[in-house]
Amino acid sequence: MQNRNELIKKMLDKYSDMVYRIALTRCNNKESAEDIYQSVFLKYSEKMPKFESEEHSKAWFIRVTINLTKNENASTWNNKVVALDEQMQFETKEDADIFIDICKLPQNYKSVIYLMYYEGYKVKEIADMLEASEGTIKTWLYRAREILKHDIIEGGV
Amino acid sequence: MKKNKVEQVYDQIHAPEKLKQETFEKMKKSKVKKKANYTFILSVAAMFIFTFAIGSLYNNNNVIKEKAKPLAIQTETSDLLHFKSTQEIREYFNENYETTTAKEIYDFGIQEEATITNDSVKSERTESANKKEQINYSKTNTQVENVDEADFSKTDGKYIYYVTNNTVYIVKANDLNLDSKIDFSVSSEENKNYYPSELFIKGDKLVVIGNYIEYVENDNATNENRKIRSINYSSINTTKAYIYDISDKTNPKELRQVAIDGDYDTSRLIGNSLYLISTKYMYYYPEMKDDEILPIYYDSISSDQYKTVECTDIVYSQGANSNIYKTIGAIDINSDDEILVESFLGYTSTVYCSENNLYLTSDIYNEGNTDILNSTEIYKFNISNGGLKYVCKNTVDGNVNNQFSLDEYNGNLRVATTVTIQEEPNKTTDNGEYTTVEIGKTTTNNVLYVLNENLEKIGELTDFGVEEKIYSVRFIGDVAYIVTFEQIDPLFVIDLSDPKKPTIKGELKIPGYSSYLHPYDENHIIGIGYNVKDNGYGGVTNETVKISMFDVSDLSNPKEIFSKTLGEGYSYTNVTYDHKLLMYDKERNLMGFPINMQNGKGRYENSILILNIDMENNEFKIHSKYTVDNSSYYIRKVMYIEDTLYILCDSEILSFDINTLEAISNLHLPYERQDRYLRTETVFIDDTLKTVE
Repeated sequence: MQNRNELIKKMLDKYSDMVYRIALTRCNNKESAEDIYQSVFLKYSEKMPKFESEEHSKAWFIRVTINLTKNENASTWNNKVVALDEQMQFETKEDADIFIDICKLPQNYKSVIYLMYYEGYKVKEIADMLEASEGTIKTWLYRAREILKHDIIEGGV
Repeated sequence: MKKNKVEQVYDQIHAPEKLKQETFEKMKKSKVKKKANYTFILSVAAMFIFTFAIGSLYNNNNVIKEKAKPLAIQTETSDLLHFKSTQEIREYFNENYETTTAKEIYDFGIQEEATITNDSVKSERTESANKKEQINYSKTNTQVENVDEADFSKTDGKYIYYVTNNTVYIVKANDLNLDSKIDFSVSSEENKNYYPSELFIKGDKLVVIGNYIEYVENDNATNENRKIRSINYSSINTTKAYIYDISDKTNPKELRQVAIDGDYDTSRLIGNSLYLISTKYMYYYPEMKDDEILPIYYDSISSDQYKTVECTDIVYSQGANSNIYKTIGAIDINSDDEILVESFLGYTSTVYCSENNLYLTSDIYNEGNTDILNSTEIYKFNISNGGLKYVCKNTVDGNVNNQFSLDEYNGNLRVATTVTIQEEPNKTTDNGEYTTVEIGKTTTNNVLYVLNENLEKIGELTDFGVEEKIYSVRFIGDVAYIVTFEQIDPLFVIDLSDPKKPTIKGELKIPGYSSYLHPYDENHIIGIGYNVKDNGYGGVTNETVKISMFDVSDLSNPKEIFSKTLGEGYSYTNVTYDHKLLMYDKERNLMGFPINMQNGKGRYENSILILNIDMENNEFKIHSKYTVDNSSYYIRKVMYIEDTLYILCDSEILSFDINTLEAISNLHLPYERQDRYLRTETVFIDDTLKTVE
């Protein structure tokens, strides 16, 4: 049996950036994202859930991060985007613009964009993770892209 | 392989190393907690459902329950049906499970956006107690008179009640003395995962509402797809309300807890009747046990266990195949009657509530079937006298913008929608890795419907604001004011005095748009919105907040008599999608709201701006501005009691004299969970603004 600390370290190493990215995208604010980040990993160390596969553990971390950020105060989110714009550093102005535009999307839209275009999940899998129907996910995606207008989708793949 | 742009952007974001180290240290020190009681819930639920729960529901002859009964009678004649057994629910889900959904839900009013729903105000709720004392104070800016909407802060003229940092603070207004606080993050292990977000005050009762997450170990997933599916069972999410007796402000006494299944959407308080509305996505698979497919609820008054909603209390509409449970809970906060719960299968996004009826709308996306891409199902529930009774439903073309798109007047329901019309088909390609949808050309149109009490169409007005979308709506008596927008803002004035024949009386085209309309008096409306610029992608980007005064005394000739642009370069206010953030003092002609503006150094400042509406000189004058130059410290709201202004920040409340603008007092709101983020900055009055003026 693996030592608990080793396991904790392994999970932290593996999902650190992912949890941070999702938290930041959903909180629009570094401080809250850091709080969420800690809460997610503490939740893990307190529960020590057993995972059957890497996919399972990854989905667990995504789900818990999304759950914890659900209660982010929606009424201040746009204020926070403005502040975030100043805190983040990107290589190009375009990158910064894309990130800020994604952050400005409604919570579920941006989660879909992240999960699909960064993590590479399929619609079906995202539907399961976000507890919505596939049709809903497609709609969110459609709406998100309609709002974004950037050709983020065509840029490679 | 070339990266897509999202990858390119996110590859540049990494968790700070310091944070990671700090977290690791904390994780090592944390203790493994005992397995949560999921099995307990299931087994208890299973025991209770078919014995105690059903029995108690029928035996409990309380008033509310009685009133709710007609629901069952009604449904036989309507197109909304009741399930007769869990087997029927199973068959319903099975059908969905096996076939792909024909009708897909076009829900762009997901949880977050439900709170984003814009706009409005009207109500000057008169509370008899305060009437006597004649205290003039901020009321929550609600859409409908006498129908209170929950907010993160409220005042009764003597105390300020504020939910922030998972804590409810009760603060004496005159000296900002913290009389008591209810800190959910430390109060008990059970409450640790409770996230209070809003509250109501009614007499001596305090109602706190929020999401409650119960983390549970998942050990019953056995089917092949468990990997992801099982995650759905790692938590039970409920919308939970705590009711307190606050006759002693220093010692709030918990009277009751109620919870309904799913995430919190919204709530209303009419008299003593509290309505909670929640959404739960049901991830069905055939191996689920009977009790797992039913929504649960909880009421501490009758039991300390979760109960399941009876299958006969769950309604669904024929032909719709939705896996989303919408649950409405009705509670009389002054009685011991058990919570009344009704669930139905169907997604709804917008909630409009008049004194007697609750309307839920469901956005339907008609993919590929017709030229008209979106339609809205409207469900009507009668809630008069604390009851909860389904009445009827109907479908109209298009989708509503927010709760202000609906309005009940003289028994009729007026609904304004934007219809999306497909001009060219979509192209979908699936390369196995990504599904790419190339969106075909669409256009939009707007419709105003008048529906009678049975939601039958009696009048409609179509084809206004072609190729534009509705940005805001306000119904005032016989007149509808509708702002549509694409590149320029037309304000339509629509006469509804003949409900069968709504007619456009006037139209005003000005640059920018208003996304919240607030009635000023019978002849004037205030619009809060944005100036815009071309974004280079074929759309527009908001630039600066613009506030306008419209003269509508002549319906056929609406005029913008004066306006003010707030900030330079870029500014933003949340009041355009959360009407409850608006402070409005008719007597003093003052309005205040949070706003983000760039300061002289180009930095963004989060401020409260208070404007004086000067009808004599035709201008909005800046009365005062409270600001803080710290991007991680938020000013959330302003309210007033008599001659004192209260500025509510993340963890601080400050008071100022409304006339002299002198600081009176401030209160730091202590909370224990995340001490490393305690902030000590103080808000200051921005004097420089006077010179800008």
